[in-house]
Amino acid sequence: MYVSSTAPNIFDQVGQCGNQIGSEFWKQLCREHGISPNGILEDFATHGDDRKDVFFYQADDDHYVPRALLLDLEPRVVNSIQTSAHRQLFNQENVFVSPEGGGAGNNWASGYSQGERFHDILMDMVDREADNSDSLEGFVLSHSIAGGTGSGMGSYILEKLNDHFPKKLIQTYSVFPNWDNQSDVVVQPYNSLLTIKRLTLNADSVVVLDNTALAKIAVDRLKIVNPTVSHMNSIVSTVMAASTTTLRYPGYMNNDLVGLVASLIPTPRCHFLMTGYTPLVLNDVPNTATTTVRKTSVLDVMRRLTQTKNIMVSASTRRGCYISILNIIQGDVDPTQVHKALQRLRERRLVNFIPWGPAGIQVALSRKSPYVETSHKVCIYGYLSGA
Amino acid sequence: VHNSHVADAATHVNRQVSGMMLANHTCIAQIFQRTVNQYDKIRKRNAFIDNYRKEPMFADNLDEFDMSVARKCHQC
Repeated sequence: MYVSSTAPNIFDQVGQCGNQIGSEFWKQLCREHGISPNGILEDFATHGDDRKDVFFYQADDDHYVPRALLLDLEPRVVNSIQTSAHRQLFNQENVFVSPEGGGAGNNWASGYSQGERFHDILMDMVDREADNSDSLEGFVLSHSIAGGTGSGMGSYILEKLNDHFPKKLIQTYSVFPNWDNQSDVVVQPYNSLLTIKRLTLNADSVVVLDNTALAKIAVDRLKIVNPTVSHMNSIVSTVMAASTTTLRYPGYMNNDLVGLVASLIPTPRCHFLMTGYTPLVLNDVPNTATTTVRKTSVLDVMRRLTQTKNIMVSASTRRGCYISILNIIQGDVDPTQVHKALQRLRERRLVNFIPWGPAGIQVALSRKSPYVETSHKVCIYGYLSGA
Repeated sequence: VHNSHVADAATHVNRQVSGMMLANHTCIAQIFQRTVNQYDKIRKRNAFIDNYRKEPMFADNLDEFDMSVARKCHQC
Protein backbone atom coordinates (compact mmCIF):
# COMPACT_ATOMS: atom_id res chain seq x y z
CA MET A 1 0.00 0.00 0.00
CA TYR A 2 1.93 3.05 1.22
CA VAL A 3 4.98 1.24 2.39
CA SER A 4 8.26 1.32 0.55
CA SER A 5 10.19 -1.47 2.17
CA THR A 6 10.05 -3.92 4.98
CA ALA A 7 12.20 -3.54 8.06
CA PRO A 8 12.59 -6.94 9.65
CA ASN A 9 13.22 -7.38 13.37
CA ILE A 10 14.84 -10.26 15.20
CA PHE A 11 13.01 -11.44 18.29
CA ASP A 12 15.19 -12.80 21.12
CA GLN A 13 13.30 -14.59 23.88
CA VAL A 14 15.47 -15.26 26.92
CA GLY A 15 14.76 -17.32 30.04
CA GLN A 16 11.60 -19.04 31.24
CA CYS A 17 9.39 -15.97 31.32
CA GLY A 18 10.82 -14.59 28.08
CA ASN A 19 10.15 -17.86 26.27
CA GLN A 20 6.68 -18.22 27.72
CA ILE A 21 5.52 -14.75 26.68
CA GLY A 22 7.47 -15.10 23.45
CA SER A 23 5.68 -18.29 22.45
CA GLU A 24 2.30 -16.70 23.28
CA PHE A 25 3.30 -13.73 21.11
CA TRP A 26 4.11 -16.03 18.17
CA LYS A 27 0.83 -17.93 18.58
CA GLN A 28 -1.03 -14.62 18.44
CA LEU A 29 0.93 -13.45 15.38
CA CYS A 30 0.18 -16.73 13.58
CA ARG A 31 -3.53 -16.31 14.30
CA GLU A 32 -3.51 -12.70 13.09
CA HIS A 33 -1.60 -13.39 9.88
CA GLY A 34 -3.44 -16.63 9.03
CA ILE A 35 -0.36 -18.79 9.48
CA SER A 36 -0.98 -22.34 10.69
CA PRO A 37 0.93 -23.70 13.74
CA ASN A 38 3.39 -25.45 11.41
CA GLY A 39 4.09 -22.29 9.40
CA ILE A 40 1.89 -22.82 6.35
CA LEU A 41 -0.21 -19.92 5.13
CA GLU A 42 -3.92 -20.77 5.40
CA ASP A 43 -5.92 -20.74 2.15
CA PHE A 44 -8.09 -17.88 3.42
CA ALA A 45 -5.03 -15.71 4.07
CA THR A 46 -3.25 -15.85 0.71
CA HIS A 47 -4.42 -12.40 -0.40
CA GLY A 48 -3.56 -10.46 2.74
CA ASP A 49 -1.75 -7.13 2.39
CA ASP A 50 -0.19 -7.48 5.83
CA ARG A 51 3.55 -7.49 6.34
CA LYS A 52 4.37 -10.95 7.61
CA ASP A 53 8.03 -10.41 6.81
CA VAL A 54 8.62 -8.00 9.70
CA PHE A 55 8.73 -10.96 12.08
CA PHE A 56 8.72 -13.98 9.71
CA TYR A 57 10.71 -15.05 6.67
CA GLN A 58 9.79 -17.64 4.09
CA ALA A 59 11.85 -20.80 3.89
CA ASP A 60 12.64 -22.44 0.55
CA ASP A 61 9.52 -24.58 0.85
CA ASP A 62 7.38 -21.44 1.47
CA HIS A 63 6.95 -22.15 5.15
CA TYR A 64 6.80 -19.03 7.31
CA VAL A 65 9.55 -19.14 9.94
CA PRO A 66 9.69 -16.71 12.89
CA ARG A 67 12.80 -14.52 13.08
CA ALA A 68 13.10 -15.74 16.63
CA LEU A 69 15.89 -16.96 18.88
CA LEU A 70 14.81 -19.15 21.79
CA LEU A 71 17.47 -18.95 24.50
CA ASP A 72 17.45 -20.51 27.96
CA LEU A 73 19.74 -22.06 30.55
CA GLU A 74 17.30 -24.80 31.51
CA PRO A 75 15.21 -26.96 29.22
CA ARG A 76 11.70 -26.99 30.71
CA VAL A 77 9.96 -24.12 28.89
CA VAL A 78 11.78 -24.55 25.58
CA ASN A 79 10.95 -28.27 25.67
CA SER A 80 7.28 -27.49 26.19
CA ILE A 81 7.39 -25.25 23.09
CA GLN A 82 9.21 -28.03 21.19
CA THR A 83 6.43 -30.51 22.00
CA SER A 84 3.52 -28.11 21.43
CA ALA A 85 1.39 -27.73 18.28
CA HIS A 86 3.86 -25.03 17.17
CA ARG A 87 6.92 -27.31 17.41
CA GLN A 88 7.56 -27.15 13.64
CA LEU A 89 7.20 -23.38 13.49
CA PHE A 90 10.62 -22.41 14.82
CA ASN A 91 14.00 -22.84 13.17
CA GLN A 92 15.71 -25.57 15.20
CA GLU A 93 19.09 -23.88 14.64
CA ASN A 94 17.78 -20.89 16.59
CA VAL A 95 17.14 -22.80 19.79
CA PHE A 96 19.76 -22.70 22.52
CA VAL A 97 19.48 -24.52 25.83
CA SER A 98 22.55 -24.76 28.04
CA PRO A 99 24.01 -28.28 27.89
CA GLU A 100 24.26 -28.32 31.70
CA GLY A 101 20.59 -27.39 31.87
CA GLY A 102 20.88 -26.20 35.45
CA GLY A 103 19.43 -22.73 34.90
CA ALA A 104 20.74 -19.64 36.69
CA GLY A 105 19.15 -20.24 40.09
CA ASN A 106 17.44 -16.84 40.20
CA ASN A 107 20.90 -15.31 40.23
CA TRP A 108 21.57 -12.44 37.80
CA ALA A 109 25.34 -12.90 38.16
CA SER A 110 25.10 -16.58 37.22
CA GLY A 111 22.97 -15.79 34.16
CA TYR A 112 25.39 -13.04 33.13
CA SER A 113 28.53 -15.16 33.46
CA GLN A 114 26.89 -18.07 31.61
CA GLY A 115 26.02 -15.61 28.85
CA GLU A 116 29.72 -14.73 28.75
CA ARG A 117 30.68 -18.42 28.67
CA PHE A 118 28.32 -19.18 25.77
CA HIS A 119 29.18 -15.91 24.01
CA ASP A 120 30.39 -17.52 20.78
CA ILE A 121 27.40 -19.82 20.34
CA LEU A 122 24.92 -17.05 21.14
CA MET A 123 26.50 -14.43 18.88
CA ASP A 124 26.85 -16.95 16.03
CA MET A 125 23.11 -17.51 16.22
CA VAL A 126 22.44 -13.76 16.26
CA ASP A 127 24.83 -13.14 13.34
CA ARG A 128 23.33 -15.94 11.25
CA GLU A 129 19.82 -14.62 11.77
CA ALA A 130 20.96 -11.03 11.09
CA ASP A 131 22.65 -12.12 7.82
CA ASN A 132 19.40 -13.76 6.88
CA SER A 133 17.45 -10.47 7.24
CA ASP A 134 17.96 -7.90 4.50
CA SER A 135 17.87 -4.33 5.83
CA LEU A 136 17.53 -5.54 9.41
CA GLU A 137 15.95 -2.82 11.52
CA GLY A 138 16.62 -4.05 15.01
CA PHE A 139 16.14 -6.46 17.83
CA VAL A 140 13.26 -7.16 20.15
CA LEU A 141 14.05 -8.89 23.44
CA SER A 142 11.46 -10.51 25.72
CA HIS A 143 12.52 -11.41 29.25
CA SER A 144 11.85 -10.95 32.93
CA ILE A 145 14.09 -8.60 34.91
CA ALA A 146 13.86 -10.36 38.28
CA GLY A 147 14.94 -13.99 37.72
CA GLY A 148 18.34 -15.32 36.68
CA THR A 149 18.43 -16.13 32.98
CA GLY A 150 16.20 -13.48 31.38
CA SER A 151 17.70 -10.85 33.66
CA GLY A 152 21.37 -11.92 33.72
CA MET A 153 21.89 -13.54 30.34
CA GLY A 154 19.39 -11.03 28.90
CA SER A 155 21.58 -8.20 30.24
CA TYR A 156 24.67 -9.76 28.71
CA ILE A 157 22.94 -10.12 25.34
CA LEU A 158 21.73 -6.51 25.47
CA GLU A 159 25.29 -5.29 26.00
CA LYS A 160 26.64 -7.43 23.18
CA LEU A 161 23.89 -6.49 20.73
CA ASN A 162 24.66 -2.86 21.45
CA ASP A 163 28.39 -3.46 20.81
CA HIS A 164 27.97 -5.53 17.65
CA PHE A 165 25.08 -3.63 16.08
CA PRO A 166 25.49 -0.02 17.22
CA LYS A 167 23.15 1.30 14.51
CA LYS A 168 20.33 -1.18 15.09
CA LEU A 169 17.39 -0.38 17.32
CA ILE A 170 16.94 -2.44 20.47
CA GLN A 171 13.49 -2.69 21.98
CA THR A 172 12.59 -4.86 24.94
CA TYR A 173 9.44 -6.26 26.47
CA SER A 174 10.54 -6.45 30.07
CA VAL A 175 8.43 -8.12 32.75
CA PHE A 176 8.80 -6.28 36.07
CA PRO A 177 8.17 -8.33 39.25
CA ASN A 178 5.07 -8.37 41.41
CA TRP A 179 6.21 -6.67 44.61
CA ASP A 180 2.87 -7.45 46.31
CA ASN A 181 3.55 -11.17 46.10
CA GLN A 182 5.52 -11.99 49.24
CA SER A 183 6.06 -15.61 48.23
CA ASP A 184 8.27 -14.54 45.33
CA VAL A 185 12.03 -14.84 45.45
CA VAL A 186 13.84 -12.66 48.02
CA VAL A 187 16.67 -11.68 45.67
CA GLN A 188 14.40 -10.14 43.01
CA PRO A 189 15.50 -6.58 43.92
CA TYR A 190 19.18 -7.46 43.29
CA ASN A 191 18.40 -8.94 39.89
CA SER A 192 15.95 -6.19 38.92
CA LEU A 193 18.34 -3.39 39.77
CA LEU A 194 21.21 -4.91 37.79
CA THR A 195 18.93 -5.47 34.78
CA ILE A 196 17.39 -1.99 34.92
CA LYS A 197 20.89 -0.55 34.59
CA ARG A 198 21.34 -2.44 31.26
CA LEU A 199 17.86 -1.49 30.11
CA THR A 200 18.78 2.14 30.76
CA LEU A 201 22.16 2.01 29.02
CA ASN A 202 21.72 -0.58 26.26
CA ALA A 203 18.12 -0.41 25.04
CA ASP A 204 16.47 2.22 22.87
CA SER A 205 12.97 1.48 24.09
CA VAL A 206 11.63 -0.63 26.95
CA VAL A 207 7.98 -1.65 27.14
CA VAL A 208 7.39 -2.17 30.85
CA LEU A 209 5.14 -5.16 31.56
CA ASP A 210 4.43 -4.67 35.23
CA ASN A 211 3.30 -7.85 36.99
CA THR A 212 2.15 -5.91 40.05
CA ALA A 213 -0.34 -4.04 37.86
CA LEU A 214 -1.22 -7.03 35.67
CA ALA A 215 -2.11 -9.17 38.71
CA LYS A 216 -4.37 -6.40 39.98
CA ILE A 217 -6.06 -6.07 36.58
CA ALA A 218 -6.58 -9.85 36.39
CA VAL A 219 -8.30 -9.86 39.80
CA ASP A 220 -10.20 -6.56 39.70
CA ARG A 221 -11.10 -6.31 36.03
CA LEU A 222 -11.12 -9.86 34.68
CA LYS A 223 -12.52 -11.29 37.95
CA ILE A 224 -9.99 -14.11 38.05
CA VAL A 225 -9.66 -15.07 41.73
CA ASN A 226 -6.19 -16.59 41.56
CA PRO A 227 -4.52 -15.45 38.34
CA THR A 228 -1.96 -17.96 37.05
CA VAL A 229 1.20 -17.39 35.05
CA SER A 230 -0.68 -18.36 31.89
CA HIS A 231 -3.37 -15.74 32.58
CA MET A 232 -0.69 -13.08 32.93
CA ASN A 233 1.10 -14.29 29.80
CA SER A 234 -2.13 -14.11 27.87
CA ILE A 235 -2.57 -10.44 28.81
CA VAL A 236 1.06 -9.77 27.98
CA SER A 237 0.90 -11.41 24.55
CA THR A 238 -2.24 -9.40 23.70
CA VAL A 239 -0.38 -6.23 24.57
CA MET A 240 2.77 -7.26 22.68
CA ALA A 241 0.84 -8.18 19.54
CA ALA A 242 -1.25 -4.99 19.68
CA SER A 243 1.82 -2.81 20.14
CA THR A 244 3.38 -4.22 16.97
CA THR A 245 0.32 -3.79 14.71
CA THR A 246 1.62 -0.56 13.23
CA LEU A 247 4.75 -2.44 12.13
CA ARG A 248 2.89 -5.42 10.70
CA TYR A 249 0.22 -3.60 8.70
CA PRO A 250 0.95 -0.88 6.15
CA GLY A 251 0.01 2.65 7.04
CA TYR A 252 1.01 6.30 6.94
CA MET A 253 2.99 6.48 10.17
CA ASN A 254 4.87 4.34 12.66
CA ASN A 255 5.53 1.75 9.95
CA ASP A 256 8.80 0.82 11.52
CA LEU A 257 10.33 0.61 14.95
CA VAL A 258 12.40 3.73 14.27
CA GLY A 259 9.27 5.79 13.61
CA LEU A 260 7.41 4.31 16.56
CA VAL A 261 10.28 4.96 18.94
CA ALA A 262 10.88 8.45 17.57
CA SER A 263 7.25 9.42 18.11
CA LEU A 264 7.23 8.20 21.72
CA ILE A 265 10.73 8.97 22.91
CA PRO A 266 11.79 12.62 22.43
CA THR A 267 14.80 12.31 24.76
CA PRO A 268 16.82 9.08 24.46
CA ARG A 269 17.23 8.38 28.19
CA CYS A 270 13.49 8.53 28.97
CA HIS A 271 12.65 5.38 27.06
CA PHE A 272 10.58 3.32 29.50
CA LEU A 273 7.05 2.98 28.12
CA MET A 274 3.86 1.95 29.88
CA THR A 275 0.84 0.33 28.28
CA GLY A 276 -2.92 0.38 28.53
CA TYR A 277 -5.55 -1.79 26.85
CA THR A 278 -9.34 -1.82 26.65
CA PRO A 279 -11.47 -3.89 26.64
CA LEU A 280 -9.37 -6.77 27.92
CA VAL A 281 -10.47 -10.28 27.01
CA LEU A 282 -8.40 -13.37 27.63
CA ASN A 283 -8.11 -16.09 25.02
CA ASP A 284 -9.83 -19.23 26.26
CA VAL A 285 -11.04 -17.58 29.45
CA PRO A 286 -14.76 -16.84 29.57
CA ASN A 287 -15.43 -13.69 31.53
CA THR A 288 -17.79 -10.81 31.82
CA ALA A 289 -15.40 -8.00 31.06
CA THR A 290 -16.50 -7.59 27.43
CA THR A 291 -20.18 -7.58 28.17
CA THR A 292 -19.76 -4.92 30.84
CA VAL A 293 -18.15 -2.59 28.30
CA ARG A 294 -21.18 -1.52 26.31
CA LYS A 295 -20.32 1.82 24.84
CA THR A 296 -17.46 1.59 22.43
CA SER A 297 -17.22 4.97 20.75
CA VAL A 298 -13.75 6.32 20.05
CA LEU A 299 -14.14 8.85 22.85
CA ASP A 300 -15.07 6.10 25.32
CA VAL A 301 -12.11 3.98 24.31
CA MET A 302 -9.69 6.91 24.49
CA ARG A 303 -11.10 8.05 27.82
CA ARG A 304 -10.83 4.54 29.25
CA LEU A 305 -7.20 4.41 28.15
CA THR A 306 -6.47 7.39 30.39
CA GLN A 307 -8.06 5.72 33.44
CA THR A 308 -5.69 4.27 36.01
CA LYS A 309 -7.57 0.96 36.16
CA ASN A 310 -6.80 0.23 32.49
CA ILE A 311 -3.16 1.30 32.65
CA MET A 312 -0.80 -1.61 33.19
CA VAL A 313 1.65 0.04 35.48
CA SER A 314 1.69 0.12 39.27
CA ALA A 315 2.41 3.81 39.53
CA SER A 316 0.08 6.76 39.84
CA THR A 317 -0.34 8.79 36.66
CA ARG A 318 -1.80 11.55 38.82
CA ARG A 319 1.74 12.34 39.87
CA GLY A 320 3.94 13.67 37.09
CA CYS A 321 2.91 14.05 33.48
CA TYR A 322 2.82 12.44 30.06
CA ILE A 323 5.79 12.91 27.74
CA SER A 324 3.97 11.23 24.84
CA ILE A 325 0.98 9.03 24.05
CA LEU A 326 0.21 6.78 21.10
CA ASN A 327 -3.29 5.33 20.99
CA ILE A 328 -3.82 2.48 18.55
CA ILE A 329 -7.58 2.30 18.00
CA GLN A 330 -8.77 -0.99 16.50
CA GLY A 331 -12.10 -1.47 14.79
CA ASP A 332 -14.27 0.32 12.26
CA VAL A 333 -14.07 3.92 13.25
CA ASP A 334 -15.17 7.15 11.61
CA PRO A 335 -12.04 9.35 11.48
CA THR A 336 -14.08 12.45 12.35
CA GLN A 337 -14.84 10.81 15.69
CA VAL A 338 -11.15 10.91 16.45
CA HIS A 339 -11.04 14.70 15.99
CA LYS A 340 -13.98 15.10 18.34
CA ALA A 341 -12.56 12.71 20.91
CA LEU A 342 -9.22 14.52 20.97
CA GLN A 343 -11.00 17.83 21.40
CA ARG A 344 -13.10 16.55 24.32
CA LEU A 345 -10.08 15.04 26.06
CA ARG A 346 -8.30 18.38 25.71
CA GLU A 347 -11.28 20.41 26.96
CA ARG A 348 -11.65 18.24 30.04
CA ARG A 349 -7.93 18.30 30.68
CA LEU A 350 -7.95 14.55 31.23
CA VAL A 351 -4.37 14.23 30.12
CA ASN A 352 -1.52 16.18 31.60
CA PHE A 353 1.42 16.74 29.24
CA ILE A 354 4.93 18.05 29.75
CA PRO A 355 5.10 21.83 29.32
CA TRP A 356 8.07 21.53 26.91
CA GLY A 357 7.96 19.99 23.45
CA PRO A 358 5.19 19.36 20.93
CA ALA A 359 3.18 17.03 23.12
CA GLY A 360 -0.12 15.52 22.05
CA ILE A 361 -2.03 12.30 21.72
CA GLN A 362 -1.09 10.48 18.54
CA VAL A 363 -3.75 8.21 17.13
CA ALA A 364 -3.32 5.23 14.83
CA LEU A 365 -6.63 3.93 13.46
CA SER A 366 -6.94 0.29 12.54
CA ARG A 367 -9.38 -2.18 11.01
CA LYS A 368 -10.07 -5.56 12.59
CA SER A 369 -8.39 -8.56 11.00
CA PRO A 370 -10.65 -10.81 8.94
CA TYR A 371 -9.02 -13.85 10.56
CA VAL A 372 -9.35 -13.22 14.30
CA GLU A 373 -11.90 -11.22 16.22
CA THR A 374 -9.35 -9.75 18.64
CA SER A 375 -7.06 -8.69 15.84
CA HIS A 376 -6.67 -5.61 13.73
CA LYS A 377 -5.72 -4.39 10.33
CA VAL A 378 -4.18 -1.02 10.35
CA CYS A 379 -4.96 2.02 8.31
CA ILE A 380 -3.28 4.86 10.00
CA TYR A 381 -4.07 8.50 10.57
CA GLY A 382 -1.72 10.78 12.41
CA TYR A 383 -3.05 13.48 14.67
CA LEU A 384 -1.18 15.86 16.84
CA SER A 385 -3.35 17.73 19.26
CA GLY A 386 -1.76 20.77 20.82
CA ALA A 387 -1.39 20.17 24.54
CA VAL B 1 -31.78 -18.22 8.93
CA HIS B 2 -28.95 -19.89 10.77
CA ASN B 3 -26.35 -18.32 8.49
CA SER B 4 -27.62 -14.81 8.94
CA HIS B 5 -27.39 -15.30 12.70
CA VAL B 6 -23.75 -16.18 12.33
CA ALA B 7 -23.18 -13.17 10.09
CA ASP B 8 -24.88 -10.89 12.61
CA ALA B 9 -22.69 -12.20 15.37
CA ALA B 10 -19.59 -11.67 13.26
CA THR B 11 -20.53 -8.11 12.37
CA HIS B 12 -21.25 -7.41 16.00
CA VAL B 13 -17.84 -8.61 17.09
CA ASN B 14 -16.12 -6.58 14.39
CA ARG B 15 -17.96 -3.45 15.35
CA GLN B 16 -16.45 -3.40 18.80
CA VAL B 17 -13.74 -0.82 19.14
CA SER B 18 -10.71 -1.60 21.24
CA GLY B 19 -7.73 0.52 22.11
CA MET B 20 -4.10 0.08 22.94
CA MET B 21 -2.05 2.81 24.55
CA LEU B 22 1.71 3.12 24.51
CA ALA B 23 2.76 6.03 26.66
CA ASN B 24 5.82 7.71 28.06
CA HIS B 25 4.99 9.05 31.55
CA THR B 26 7.22 10.41 34.27
CA CYS B 27 5.42 8.22 36.84
CA ILE B 28 7.58 5.30 35.69
CA ALA B 29 10.21 6.71 38.07
CA GLN B 30 8.01 5.46 40.95
CA ILE B 31 8.73 1.90 39.86
CA PHE B 32 12.48 2.53 39.85
CA GLN B 33 12.22 4.11 43.28
CA ARG B 34 10.31 1.08 44.61
CA THR B 35 12.99 -1.23 43.19
CA VAL B 36 15.73 0.77 44.89
CA ASN B 37 13.79 0.75 48.20
CA GLN B 38 13.39 -3.03 48.03
CA TYR B 39 17.06 -3.35 47.12
CA ASP B 40 18.17 -1.23 50.08
CA LYS B 41 16.22 -3.48 52.44
CA ILE B 42 18.00 -6.70 51.44
CA ARG B 43 21.37 -5.09 50.71
CA LYS B 44 21.47 -3.70 54.26
CA ARG B 45 21.63 -7.22 55.66
CA ASN B 46 23.50 -8.62 52.64
CA ALA B 47 20.84 -11.29 52.17
CA PHE B 48 22.00 -14.16 49.92
CA ILE B 49 24.93 -12.04 48.77
CA ASP B 50 27.32 -15.03 48.84
CA ASN B 51 25.62 -16.50 45.77
CA TYR B 52 26.63 -13.38 43.88
CA ARG B 53 30.19 -13.33 45.26
CA LYS B 54 30.71 -16.75 43.66
CA GLU B 55 30.45 -15.20 40.21
CA PRO B 56 33.33 -13.36 38.49
CA MET B 57 31.65 -9.94 38.43
CA PHE B 58 31.29 -9.87 42.22
CA ALA B 59 34.32 -11.97 43.22
CA ASP B 60 36.45 -9.02 44.33
CA ASN B 61 33.87 -6.49 45.45
CA LEU B 62 30.22 -5.48 45.22
CA ASP B 63 30.88 -2.27 43.27
CA GLU B 64 28.62 -3.33 40.42
CA PHE B 65 25.63 -3.35 42.78
CA ASP B 66 26.38 0.03 44.33
CA MET B 67 27.16 1.63 40.99
CA SER B 68 23.86 0.45 39.59
CA VAL B 69 22.05 2.26 42.39
CA ALA B 70 23.99 5.46 41.81
CA ARG B 71 23.12 5.30 38.14
CA LYS B 72 19.42 4.91 38.92
CA CYS B 73 19.18 7.66 41.49
CA HIS B 74 20.94 10.05 39.16
CA GLN B 75 18.22 9.41 36.58
CA CYS B 76 15.29 9.84 38.94
